[in-house]
Amino acid sequence: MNTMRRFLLRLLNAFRPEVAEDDLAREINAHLALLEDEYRRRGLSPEQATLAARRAIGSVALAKDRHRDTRSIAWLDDLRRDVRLAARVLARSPGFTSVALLTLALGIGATTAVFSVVEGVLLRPLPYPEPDRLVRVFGPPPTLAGIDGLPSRMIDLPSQTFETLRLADRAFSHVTGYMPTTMTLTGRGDAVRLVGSHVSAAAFPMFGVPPLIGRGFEPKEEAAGADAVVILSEAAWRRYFNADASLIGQLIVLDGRGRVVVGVMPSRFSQIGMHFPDPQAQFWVPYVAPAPDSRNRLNVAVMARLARGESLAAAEDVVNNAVGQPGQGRYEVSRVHDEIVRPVKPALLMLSGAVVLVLLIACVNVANLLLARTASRERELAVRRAVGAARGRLIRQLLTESVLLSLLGGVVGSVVAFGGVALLRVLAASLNRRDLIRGANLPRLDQIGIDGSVLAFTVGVALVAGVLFGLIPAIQQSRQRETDVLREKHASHRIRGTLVVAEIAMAIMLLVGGALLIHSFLRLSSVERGYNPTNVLTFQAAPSGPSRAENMAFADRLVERLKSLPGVVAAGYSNNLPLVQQGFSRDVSARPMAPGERAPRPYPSLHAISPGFADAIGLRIVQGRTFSAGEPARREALVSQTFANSGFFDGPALGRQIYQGKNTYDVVGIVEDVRQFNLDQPPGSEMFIIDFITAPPGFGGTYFAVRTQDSPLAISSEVRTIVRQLDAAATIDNVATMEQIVSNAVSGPRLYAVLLGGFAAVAVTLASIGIYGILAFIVTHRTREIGIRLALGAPPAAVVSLVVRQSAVQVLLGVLLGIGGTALLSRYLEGLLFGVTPLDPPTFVVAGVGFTLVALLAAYRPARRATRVDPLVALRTE
Amino acid sequence: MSERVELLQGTLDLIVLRALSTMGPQHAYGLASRLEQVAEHPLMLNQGTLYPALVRLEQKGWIKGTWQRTESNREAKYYAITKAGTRALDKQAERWRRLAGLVDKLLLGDA
Repeated sequence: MNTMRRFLLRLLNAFRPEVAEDDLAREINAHLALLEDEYRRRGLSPEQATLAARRAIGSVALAKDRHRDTRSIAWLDDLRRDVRLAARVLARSPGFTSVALLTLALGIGATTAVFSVVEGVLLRPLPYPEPDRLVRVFGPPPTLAGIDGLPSRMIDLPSQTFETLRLADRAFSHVTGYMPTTMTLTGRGDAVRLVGSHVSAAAFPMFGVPPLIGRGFEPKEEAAGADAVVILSEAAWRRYFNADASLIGQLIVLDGRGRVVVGVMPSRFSQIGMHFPDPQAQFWVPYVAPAPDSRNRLNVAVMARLARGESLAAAEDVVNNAVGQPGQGRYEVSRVHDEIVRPVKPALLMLSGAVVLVLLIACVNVANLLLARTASRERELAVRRAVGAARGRLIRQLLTESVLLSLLGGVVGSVVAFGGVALLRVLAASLNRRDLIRGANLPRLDQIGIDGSVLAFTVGVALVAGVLFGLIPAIQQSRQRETDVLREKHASHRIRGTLVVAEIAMAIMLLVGGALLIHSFLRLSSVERGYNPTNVLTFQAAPSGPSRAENMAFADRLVERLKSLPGVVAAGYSNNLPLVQQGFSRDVSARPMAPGERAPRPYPSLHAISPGFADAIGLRIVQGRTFSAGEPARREALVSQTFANSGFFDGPALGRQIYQGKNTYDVVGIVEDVRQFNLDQPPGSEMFIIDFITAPPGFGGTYFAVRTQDSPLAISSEVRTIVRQLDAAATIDNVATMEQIVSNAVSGPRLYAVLLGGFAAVAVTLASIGIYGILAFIVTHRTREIGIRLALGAPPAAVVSLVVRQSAVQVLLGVLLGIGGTALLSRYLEGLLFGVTPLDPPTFVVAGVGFTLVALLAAYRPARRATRVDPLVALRTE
Repeated sequence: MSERVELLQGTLDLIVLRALSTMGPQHAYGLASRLEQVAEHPLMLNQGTLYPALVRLEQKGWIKGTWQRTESNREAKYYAITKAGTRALDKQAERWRRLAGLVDKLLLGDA
């Protein structure tokens, strides 16, 4: 027990030495006084007594030292003293300290910010029990290619397949199907469209999140007629029902049908940004399988929980045995977490690599600064060696300084990281709509933040960085004694030269990478889209009545009213908008089909539009004309260039006919290719006819586009008013300008371009500081030599070239190494690039030349200073 | 030249405890003088050894120091043995006696 007590007291003394130190001093003084008394009693004079007492007591310093060793923990006490000394040393040169701190803060801050994303997106498991057992089941690529023949695995499975899979309970403990939908909530103020999903009852136990109130679905509620129940999300329950707990058991009206609220799910339930259970979801209703004889075919997404102990591969075999068919590809079982991170993993790995480079550059830079400083502290260190400081002691002192520096850098870096994460959230924010691709596509963005594990990471990075950049100067310094001073100087220059070359090479890699991404982003932003997104307001609206006639009448009346608004140039509706993730197609052909004959695939994507829509969205006719006015337009079609040249028509498209069932359309014009799904994919076959296609239930209604003279958002409130005037129970959602939609589509590339561009800018700045630092150092050290040269009549240009030559070799070597390294690594960027190859020569040339110019600029100031050296002053220095 | 007696590790603690237990509270100077008187040889005992021993014993809770005035009206830190110290002294003394006996026996046996 007293061992413990003693340890605690020693620990206390290590951190609070003043108390014990004072006490000891007082005690020794008392001791001296008593000794003096004794000597005086023996007859010595007061002076003699004092002297004799001092002699008798021996070395006070030694006593204090031994006392200290006993009363406290020596190494801890040393550490405390080292830290105090280091803090004093750092405070004494605020210029050096602030540059080093800023450099480290940038490096550590950027690393922390990126790590917080990697941690939140890639590493953190899904917030459900045993998340590794949650899987998705995908179908094999269809043998008949879909729209435009792009084969890909089947994301949704036919409902019959799902029913079979449900029985494959050998592999899974739960099998869940879901279908995203939207429904209109009425009877509670304005009609609102809510987004939600049809979902199997098994979903709620599968995720293992208990309801906030009420219950999940029961299996018997999956039957038609028994399914008039609904579960609300916590957000919807708070927003539309004032968090009223008595709502359980009450009836609410969704799409005109009464449903009993049976439960409310907490917000932590909805954490998967893949339709289910996604944070946007406001309600869930039971999934009801269509009757086996029904012509109504449904496709459902399938999520399951692996049976305990079941492997992914084994489950996949079970699935293929149950539902696979010979000649078809294999069904795929994949972890939900892998599916979520798949789209962002390459980009995040790229960013991680980039940020490690930034951190390394920062370390190299600080190491360089420290080397220069150690050189100028030679005198201080020599004195400390002379009075007996051991080599290890000096290394420890220098390391303490660098670790202290990096920990402070970590503190400032955390602030930088907070800012970085905030910026990232803004950059990665996307339009929160299911009908668009998810902007920057960072899943679980709202959960990204600086938390305990991220801060622990920061401290770790700071410590490693401190040792990394502190070790070089420390070792360098400690070797001082063994080598002669001249050779030492040489070695010091060589080390610093190597560091600068490494720094330049890394900066070049970031610069080229950033330039490639920026170049690619610019290409993507300026891609020919086939429409004009400027000053276009878009939205979805649907009347309360579900029939096609009601929808069409509502759309026509709405367009008439919109056209009459001041400032509106054109208005129209369509079943689809560019960049909306919906494909509509019909079995069209270039010749009439015999009865029973099926038109050959692939089919073009079909846009059923109103006459004003082409002008509203700004389609560009490249050949032929637009629709005629009035009734004849209903037998006309516009086709995109890709469709016209696809071989569908077997010759020129203009003037040909397109057959669909009993309808015939004349191709009257060819429009510029419209990038329908993505800006980075080749354009597909698109076809426009004047018609009205009712949006399927759950798709949120007809799309409208309004072209205005200026700011389109200015009319959005008037648009809402008009919609309500036409039908008080109508819904209007997804109000956005076409520019916002386009911006959303490029937000991923923009995010990566901004980040890597930012890293590159930091890297180049740091590298130029490095070049500047080493040259300034060399000029200072060679002041005498330069002075002599100038005194002997060397022209300033010769002095400038003398200094610049010092760095020219390093810059050249660094640039070459950097370009070589980039050429090796840039292929990892390939997936992130659009319209630019990873070895794009102009980008490499611009980056190389640009960096060399920056480097020259950095060399200019020290070189200028060299020419201003006054020979007299120079000779007097040292 | 006086013969130096190196103190065995741990014996100083024992000596200090014993002195405090028999003489009552003492300051460091008093302890030092007392130890010099008792010893037949001047002990290698200066502040470099005494003070660490005092702080060690105090941290172990075996002695307790308080600032008081001497008869000559000087301030000094008086150390007194605690209950735990008395117990420790008994134990240490017993241990020491056994050890000394063993060493004696060995030395005599050798002779």
